[in-house]
Amino acid sequence: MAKRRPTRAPRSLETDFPVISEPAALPVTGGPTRFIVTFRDDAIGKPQVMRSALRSTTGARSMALASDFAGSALNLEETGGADAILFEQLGIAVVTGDRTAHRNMAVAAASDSGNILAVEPEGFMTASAQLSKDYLRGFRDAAQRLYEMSDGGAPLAPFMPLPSDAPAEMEAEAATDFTWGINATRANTSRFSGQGIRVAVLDTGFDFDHPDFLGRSVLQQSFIRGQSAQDGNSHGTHCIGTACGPKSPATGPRYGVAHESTIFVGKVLNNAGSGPDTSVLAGMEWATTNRCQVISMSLGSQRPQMTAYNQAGQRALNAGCLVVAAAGNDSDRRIGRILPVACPANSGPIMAVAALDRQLQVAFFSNRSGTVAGAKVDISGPGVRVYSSTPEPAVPPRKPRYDFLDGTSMATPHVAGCAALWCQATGKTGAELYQKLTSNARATSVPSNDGGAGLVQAPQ
Amino acid sequence: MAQRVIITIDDQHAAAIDKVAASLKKAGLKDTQVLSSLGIVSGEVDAKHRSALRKVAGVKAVEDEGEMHAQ
Repeated sequence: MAKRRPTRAPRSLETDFPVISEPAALPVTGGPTRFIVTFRDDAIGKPQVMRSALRSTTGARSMALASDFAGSALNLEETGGADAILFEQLGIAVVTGDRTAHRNMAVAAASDSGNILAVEPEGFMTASAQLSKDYLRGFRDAAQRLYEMSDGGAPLAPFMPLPSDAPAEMEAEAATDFTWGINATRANTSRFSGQGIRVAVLDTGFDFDHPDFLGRSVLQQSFIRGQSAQDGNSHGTHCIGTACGPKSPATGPRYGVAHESTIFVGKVLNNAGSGPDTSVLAGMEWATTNRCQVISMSLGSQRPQMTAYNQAGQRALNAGCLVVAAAGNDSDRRIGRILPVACPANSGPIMAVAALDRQLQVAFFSNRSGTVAGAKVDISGPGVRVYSSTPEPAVPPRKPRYDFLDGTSMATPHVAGCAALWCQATGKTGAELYQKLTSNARATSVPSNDGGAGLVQAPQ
Repeated sequence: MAQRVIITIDDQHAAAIDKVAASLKKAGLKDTQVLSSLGIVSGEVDAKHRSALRKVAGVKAVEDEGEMHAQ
């Protein structure tokens, strides 16, 4: 998720689709990957032409048509079994294929005579899957609008507007002494600081030049080939800010929980926000070997429980390393779509963290307990309009090094920071620390399958 | 076709994970990475050798490697 609310504009056909300038990410898998295929203008509105071009180059058999979903909005999850999704009015397809399929499509695109104009470079989807969901949602919305316009001017689907009070609310937040999350978790009144506690944040890295962290003990390791642990995304810096940020930042409110903890920066997601299981597991191994009492993972994917994470989480816990992970943002409760806790938070030994908003209601995107044993939401943290540190943008205009983000990702480091405080306060680690967190959580009106034991609290 | 896999090694073979990894290599696993503390081995295997990995003593599960995303 991690959307910047202030800059969110209503979606329209004129909206520029994001262009990723990310250098080619490591080839993480030889298996199927998704590609975006753009067709020549002649093929637009002609699904048969698009189908035949894809079939001859990729062998794709099962193809879903975006307009088939037009009664309701296209649900990407429902098309999971399809090799390709055709956005016939846009002349675009999202294709699942292997390297050979990609090569064939690229060859077809290079020819002047074929119907395929371009294929996004391999690695694009792999490296940007977090962004790509929004990207695809943009396609979905655009296709939906086109369909409705073609259907005799039926009313356009309303877009989710940014609440009119949001900018004012956020301006007010930036002028307070403590963020709402620091207040709600009572980190501001805690006697504890996380001193001597090692907190690993496995994410997109960290902005090692951030002025709020000068003089802090920070260790780092990148598990992403070809990329240093310097955060080229901002997600990692934001999460580390929440878990470990300072007691008195140079400007603005206090946003960090365990302000004297030792920070272990494990880069397991590339600068586009994605990473393979091997990188995530290697990061967990590194944090466990370094006896980090807390391992924070604001990452996930909507997959069934995996034996690998069940065991990794259990081994870490046995070694005195509590793993907390994001429950995931796959739901949209505004339209009644509620998905189960994502992997790896759906593993029993890993604490799954849901996101609450300032009113202590569950966030619309926050996932719910799954039906498999262990796949339940265990605890909640502040995860809507969360203010924290971000890297300075590489290009002008220079902006403040803070931003507001939404996500179970933002809730997770609140729990990680509180875990560090509880560890310092009680000396407990592993399963005992897990129990300290859940038994001291603050009850809310959110049902336990959405919010677990309640809102995480700092020891006083 | 080559595929990336995550292999979980059972507790009984926790101390002998390097030996299990060597057997996995013999069975066709390439680009092998061993995570001893967690009991995990990852690597790449040709699809036709995948079932052989499952038969190696100490292997609890062979799962497809996937992608994780920032939430």
